[in-house]
Amino acid sequence: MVTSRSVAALATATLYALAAFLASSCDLLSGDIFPSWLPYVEARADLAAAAAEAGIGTLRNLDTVEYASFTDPADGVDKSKILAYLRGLDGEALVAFEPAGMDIAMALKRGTDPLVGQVSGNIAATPEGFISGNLAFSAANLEAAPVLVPGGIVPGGILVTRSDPVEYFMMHTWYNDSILEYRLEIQKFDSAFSPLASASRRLDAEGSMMNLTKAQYFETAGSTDGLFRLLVETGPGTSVFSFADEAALLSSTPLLEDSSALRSGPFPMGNNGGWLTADGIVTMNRDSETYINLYAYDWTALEATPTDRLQITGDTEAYRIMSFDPSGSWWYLHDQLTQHLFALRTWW
Amino acid sequence: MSMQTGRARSLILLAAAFLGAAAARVEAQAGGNTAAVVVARYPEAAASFAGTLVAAMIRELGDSGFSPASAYVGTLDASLPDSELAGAALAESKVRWAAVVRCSLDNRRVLWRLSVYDALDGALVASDARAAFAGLSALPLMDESATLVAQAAAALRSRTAPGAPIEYRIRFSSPDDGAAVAFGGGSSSRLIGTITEGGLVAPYAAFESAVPIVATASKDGYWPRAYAFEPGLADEPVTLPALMPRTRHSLSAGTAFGRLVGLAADYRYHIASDSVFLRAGDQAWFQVAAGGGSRATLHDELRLGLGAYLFLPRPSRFRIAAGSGLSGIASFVQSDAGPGGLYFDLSLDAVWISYEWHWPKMAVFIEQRSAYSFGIDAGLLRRGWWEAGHAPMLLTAGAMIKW
Repeated sequence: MVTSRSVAALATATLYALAAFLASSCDLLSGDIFPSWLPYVEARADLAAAAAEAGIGTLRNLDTVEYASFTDPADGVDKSKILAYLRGLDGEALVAFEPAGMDIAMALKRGTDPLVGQVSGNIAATPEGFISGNLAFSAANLEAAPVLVPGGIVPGGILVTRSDPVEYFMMHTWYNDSILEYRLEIQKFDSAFSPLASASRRLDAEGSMMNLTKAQYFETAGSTDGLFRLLVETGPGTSVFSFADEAALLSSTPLLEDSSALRSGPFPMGNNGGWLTADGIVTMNRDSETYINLYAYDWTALEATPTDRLQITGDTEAYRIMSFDPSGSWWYLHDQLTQHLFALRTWW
Repeated sequence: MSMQTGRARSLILLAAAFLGAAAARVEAQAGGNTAAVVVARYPEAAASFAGTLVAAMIRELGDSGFSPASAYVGTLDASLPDSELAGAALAESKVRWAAVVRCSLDNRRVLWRLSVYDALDGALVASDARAAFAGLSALPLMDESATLVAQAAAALRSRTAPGAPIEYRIRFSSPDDGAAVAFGGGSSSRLIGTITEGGLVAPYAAFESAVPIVATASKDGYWPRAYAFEPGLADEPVTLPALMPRTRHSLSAGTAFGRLVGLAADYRYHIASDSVFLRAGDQAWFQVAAGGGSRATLHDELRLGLGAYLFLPRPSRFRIAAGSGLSGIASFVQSDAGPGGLYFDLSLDAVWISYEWHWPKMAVFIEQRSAYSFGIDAGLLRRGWWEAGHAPMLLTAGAMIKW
């Protein structure tokens, strides 16, 4: 028999259970079923559909995503593209997406269309468009035949572009096992990819371990000289070396002994890499909670503290950050379970 | 043992006490199970039969759970009624139970009566009177008589003193004008009147104070409700709780944790009043973020389902409802440069549980739900169970009106 007393006891027990449930769920008051970063999403691309359109079969992996900014001087139209390099069961492909809506602008399977060269996951923006592998594409007309770049982007290398005048700086690190030294090789090319200058640099006099993970040229308003920034992994940690001009970049002085190289860091990087933007360095840190942190270049404290950060909730293991646009406006996130690529606005 | 010869019949008085020691009358009410006192008075001619009765009574009281009884030692007037004899013996010995044995001879017959009184209120709790041929054949009958009386007394060993009857007409107050009120419940109830202008004065009934009684209120369109109360010695109105209407429709509004910038509305149609219902609901909310580049994402969820109230009586204040259904969520993601994105997620509203506190016309609730997304291509959710932040279930709170 149910009595009013038993009803009251059940009500009390239920309220206690609810209170305990509320107290034990710290994110209960803020969490919803949708990803926390959804308000930053600009557009979404279906990579499986892109792979099908490129003719590479079932998508296996997304290697690279880069943003190539370009405004056509002929008509003033923004013809920027989001470039993704896809690896499928039946081949690999370079796919260009329109930034607005992420519709597919071009899908080029490696080794089929232009017989002059090969696209690859080494992608870099250029003043005229972008380079993938050893092919340079014009953003003004993607249907135009790409131009062969002699040597292309060195595997594992990074191509840095300067637009005024148009010059390229190819950088990569390697280990010279005959003299047991790590080296950073920098080669300067003109707009036709003719070599102009080069430099070989070490981290210190001993040639200690270093690995160049990102490099970028940032124009400085009102000056012909911009900043070259290099994100370098070293034994003590990951640091950014900034050079005020080309001469400082091409010096042969070891990085740690170069008074013209401004060093920032080390930054906590984890295993997820980092990205150089005009607003700072971005890293992703997975711990009990997952955050994307923005660090300023000119921090002065002993330990870098993020100036801004964004928490990623949900099944974060399946989320992979592909890149941050150097301008600091966009970033790209790959949901590996649904094979969707999201273009997002930055939160700072 | 003493004897009084003033009358032609014999008298034996037994008093069996529950007390650890001779105790005051009030203390005796608490009960006990200790020694008894036996006093016997009888004419010499009936002495042998009286002795048998006294011995049987002492023995049977002990066997029935009373502490060993003993004879009352004192002088009493055998002409007094048994109740007064018992009262005098109880007052003097300060025990709880007294057994009075009367035995006499009438020609060749022996007559006897055994009675047990309770000191609590002087009540006769067991009695047996018999007559038999004054010979050996009477002895088994005397044993049987003592057994019956002792067992009957033992059955009432834990009795309490009845309260005094109330001296007023019970007055009821209720917000339900027109409700019929009856004493008792079910087919044995007795209708006493109808609530008029918020009150009802019941016909006089000699209920004892502090003894629970039940009044049942009923009204068309409402669930009948029984209410137990204990009338006091003073005349104070009894407030009957409001009757719960039989619900056919309800409409609720609320919001969900994590969806605080939004509103949820839900309609229920009760196929069976306060039991089984269909529901249709819509919830719209903005998902916002604090960062500078964020643009509020608009979500709108449509829910259809079937639910039922579980476990508790339908007119209960506190109720638990559960059910399942389907959920469709349309999401509009704003874009700076493009047209934005419109997405649609379809989910199985696998189980929802609503904890509700009801008043006659409204209720408040907290609802937990666990849903499974089908992960369709047009949607934003992956295939799998919903996860709200780090919590496995989504919580919604709100209020509903009922009619």
